[in-house]
Amino acid sequence: MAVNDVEIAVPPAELVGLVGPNGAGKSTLFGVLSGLVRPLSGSVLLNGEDVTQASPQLRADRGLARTFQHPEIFGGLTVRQHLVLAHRTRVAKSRIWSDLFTLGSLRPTDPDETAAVDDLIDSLGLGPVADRFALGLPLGMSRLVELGRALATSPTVLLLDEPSSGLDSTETGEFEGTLRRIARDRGISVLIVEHDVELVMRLCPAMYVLDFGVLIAHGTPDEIRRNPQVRAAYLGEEASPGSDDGRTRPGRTIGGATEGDTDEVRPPTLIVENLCVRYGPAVAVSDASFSIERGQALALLGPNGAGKSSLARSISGLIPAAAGSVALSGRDITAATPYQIRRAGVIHLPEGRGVFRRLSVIDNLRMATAVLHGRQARRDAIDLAFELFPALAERRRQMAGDLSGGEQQMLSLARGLATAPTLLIADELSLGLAPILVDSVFEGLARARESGVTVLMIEQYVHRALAFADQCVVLQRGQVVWQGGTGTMDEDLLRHYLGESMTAVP
Amino acid sequence: MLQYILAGLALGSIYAIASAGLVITFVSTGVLNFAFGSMAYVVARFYYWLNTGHSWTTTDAGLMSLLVMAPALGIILYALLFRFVRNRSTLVKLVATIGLSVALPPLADLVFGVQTITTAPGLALSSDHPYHFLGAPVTTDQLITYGFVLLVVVAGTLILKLTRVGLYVRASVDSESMTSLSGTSPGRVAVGVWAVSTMLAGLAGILVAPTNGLTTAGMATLMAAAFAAVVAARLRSLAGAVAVSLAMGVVTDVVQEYLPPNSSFTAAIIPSIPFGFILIFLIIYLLRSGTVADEAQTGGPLDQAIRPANQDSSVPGLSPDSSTSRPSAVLSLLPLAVVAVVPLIFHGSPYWLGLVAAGMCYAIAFLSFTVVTGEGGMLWLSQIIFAGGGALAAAQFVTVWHLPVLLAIVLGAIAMAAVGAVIGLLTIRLGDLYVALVTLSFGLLVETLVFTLSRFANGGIGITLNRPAFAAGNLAFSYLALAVFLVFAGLILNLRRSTSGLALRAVRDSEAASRTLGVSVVQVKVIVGALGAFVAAVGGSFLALDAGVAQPQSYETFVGLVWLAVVVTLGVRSIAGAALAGLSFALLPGVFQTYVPTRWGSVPAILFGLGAISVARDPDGIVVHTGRQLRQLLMMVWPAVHRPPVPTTAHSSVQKVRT
Repeated sequence: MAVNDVEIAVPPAELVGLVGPNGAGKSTLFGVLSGLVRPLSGSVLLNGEDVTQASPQLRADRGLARTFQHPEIFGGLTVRQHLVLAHRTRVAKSRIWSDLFTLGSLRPTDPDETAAVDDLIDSLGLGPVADRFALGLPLGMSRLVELGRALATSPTVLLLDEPSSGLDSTETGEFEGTLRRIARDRGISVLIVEHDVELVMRLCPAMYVLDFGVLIAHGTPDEIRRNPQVRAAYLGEEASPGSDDGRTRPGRTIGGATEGDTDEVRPPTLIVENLCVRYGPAVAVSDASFSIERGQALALLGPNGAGKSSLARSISGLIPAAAGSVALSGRDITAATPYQIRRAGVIHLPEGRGVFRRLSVIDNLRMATAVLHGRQARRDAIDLAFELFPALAERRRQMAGDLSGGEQQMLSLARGLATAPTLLIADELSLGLAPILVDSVFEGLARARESGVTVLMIEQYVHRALAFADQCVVLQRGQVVWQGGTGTMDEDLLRHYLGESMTAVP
Repeated sequence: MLQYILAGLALGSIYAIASAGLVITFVSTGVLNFAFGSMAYVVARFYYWLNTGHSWTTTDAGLMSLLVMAPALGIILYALLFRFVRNRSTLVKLVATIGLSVALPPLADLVFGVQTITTAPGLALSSDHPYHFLGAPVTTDQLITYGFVLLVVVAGTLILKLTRVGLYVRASVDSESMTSLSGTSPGRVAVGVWAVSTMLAGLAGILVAPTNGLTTAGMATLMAAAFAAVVAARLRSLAGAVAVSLAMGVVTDVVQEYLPPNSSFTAAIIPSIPFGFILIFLIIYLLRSGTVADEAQTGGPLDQAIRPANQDSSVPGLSPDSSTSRPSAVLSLLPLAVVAVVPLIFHGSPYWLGLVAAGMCYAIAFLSFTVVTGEGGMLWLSQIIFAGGGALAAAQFVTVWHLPVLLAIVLGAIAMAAVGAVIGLLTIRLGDLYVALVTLSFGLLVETLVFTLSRFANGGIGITLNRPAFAAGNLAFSYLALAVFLVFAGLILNLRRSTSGLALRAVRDSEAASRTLGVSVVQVKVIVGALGAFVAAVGGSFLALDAGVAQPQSYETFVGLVWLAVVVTLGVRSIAGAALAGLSFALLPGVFQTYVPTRWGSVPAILFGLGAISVARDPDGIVVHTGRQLRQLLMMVWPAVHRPPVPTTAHSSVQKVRT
């Protein structure tokens, strides 16, 4: 279940924000509101009318418009055509089929339509690209095109899904201004889903906070800022205060330093230089540089959407680097494929249950140990995994997809720890876990590090990550804005970079 | 009864082997292989060449074909083609494999020699006697078939469940990116899968040859039946596909016991059984969930998260046609102007003028792909059936009601448009691939049920359809066809530039966004389906006019696949592309027949096939591609002519328009 028992009201002509961590169910909720996803129960009222059973088309007719998190633009239409089509769906809908028989392409354009479209193009600043095909427009432009398309249907309610994600700070600023102006001029009710909490707090007089599909708070930005539950969801307040990070408990060594622990000078395990990562036109990471010494741990911090996971994926080869270089123990691996990088000793535990869902637990581990040479080595590694996580041994024949979230993360971690990697990339391993499981995740990572494995961690539990790691890199909108030893990171810096809501201390 | 069941099980076993081969490549590489029948043909042809031509023993020839030649073929095809189509759109995957299926058999004939093979040997010795099981005779061929399907099922299950290789395959089906993060190359897994799939194709081909004949048509029938099982198994379930195949085989043979032997009714019912299976299963799925999607987007959340970074944007139709700017509009008229003078060029030679006239008729029929696939984004494989249906209907109107021929053509086309609208309505909730498969089997069904009726077939010679008196000569007829072509081209231009066209492109580019915008997908798709069927029917009628006779066997569904391949090669979104495709489809074979030794007569087919394969590299087709190059040239020579507006943002340097 992605969303449960949520109640949200958007008053006429008002901006309302909806925030929540990754996977909180925000986009699913939008799907339900726009009619693309059917709710199991509950109802959606539009201008007082029940539209729960209505199709997306019908809701559009009644004045609902939306944008998408990943812009769903029509690549084969020009920017102006986007607006023209949207305008006609509202004003002259029958033309969609009647134009075929009445030679609609020869019909002179309606002056009212041209005026309305031109007005929109001007007010969104789309003039220079109006007659360009939308395919290949930069992301910021695509978002404006989507916004324009939505506005051209003269909606009464506008849903904006992550309007600022993938934009840099200048673009976000411009978008914010445009949005403010439009809401004021046109008197449209707007519901914004955003990961950028600060942006929502600046824009919206009222906001809601969603976590794991449940509304945990609503009120004015100030009220939200003070709400302890919200801080827990974002900051991940230390769930069991005072608990050690697990370094003290000795365990069987995991290996990793098997190739002889000589003291000769070695290059750092990982050197990242000027790395850029892109998803099509969207820039995820630009110009990131840092390095990790052998056996050290680095915490990669930053608000949602800052580019942490993209950076990790680029290091492990899943996304080709757009520019820059990555070197592992002095060897350049920038252009290598993911499986070559895995064989070189990097194991990446991806965000969100990095397991093969339709394979059994034991098969997952067999896949993980496939890089080892020799039957005995593989068997030992699997035994080690079961020793580290006895709970998995009991479920060895179960499909990984049927395990609980915590068990799946265990399995993911077991994959990483059993094979003695050189570098372990742990992406949000503790996301969505019960406190006690979070402890064991950190415990496992600590063991790995003790045995010489270098760790790159992405963590939502900022303070625990800082206590665990030696170094810290802070990303903001794809750029490294701070790096240094974790000892020198203090609350002020944290608050400055990660935002008030994420780091405020009671 | 038992006898029929045993025979049905043998037939079902062959289907099962084929459908297993189709399912494993689909789940692990996302490609539904339309070249499967041709691959089966090539391996079976190689086996025949060794066994009959070079007197190898059955065992030697079988081992050589299945364990050496088939895997090698699979690996070569992977290296040349399949690895390039992985992240392409369904249309490109489809067309590339159709192209392969067109090119492979003539290539094999070039190597092994063209030969009409009347009786193909199976894997049994020819001299043996049937065994008896509970009184029912069982031939050695049947026993061997049972043995192989058992071997495939048991060995397949064991390998998949117990070995490391099987683990890699299952893992890459589950998530490709997770597999590569585990240090296993998904490419290497895919090579293995293609090798195994080709082995299964070869095995099915060798086994089916004694009954279906060692012909491409026989192999196509096998593939069509296997497709039915694959659809029934929702494209993904290996066990389901095998079970449905066996059931289909048994039903096919058991039904024969209750049908009158040697009647036309029986001859029509038997081949339609696979279609019946498709229909029943699709209805069940639709009733249960309301929609049947492809699930072609394989993989877990990680694969989906990184897809936008790795996928290139070259989906056909996504790269915009710049018909809005003046210089390129002139450029796009250029090929049409060339086409218009072609009949005059060949005025002196009746042979060539005849081919040109045929080419013009093909051009009309090919425009239906421009409407349905190019503008509508729908993968319909039954356009040739509408063409044939239009021609047959027109011939009926003329002979029975004595209507003027042009009026008869229009009436026939209207009837086909109604059929097209119905098909459009029925397939509205299906994913692209299902639409392709459903229209394909619809075509095969009409071909076996309707086109064989003696009213249309007239004992194989067809019904006469004479040209109107004013266009009896080839030159006049060419220009009549050209005029009709231009009328439809105008209609398509109107469609493209009007609100309907905007809505169609919107639906094609993003269905979610269109729906939330209030654009109705249903209306648009039904209209386009009807229009496409209308155009196809007129084109088909003109082909009949050109030949002077409406003959059902000129409109076979699998020939329609070649049509599609030719059109897509030259550009499915371009009107000029359709014209050139029609002309080259008619003229190229003529060129080869006239100027090249007969041995090389099959080269045009190979060229068309290879052209379609090249679509995997550039999905826009040759005409659009060349047009782009011409435009670039023009821009270099005369830069002021055509300068695309450039966005004036800080990020304009980031984006790069695909050239």
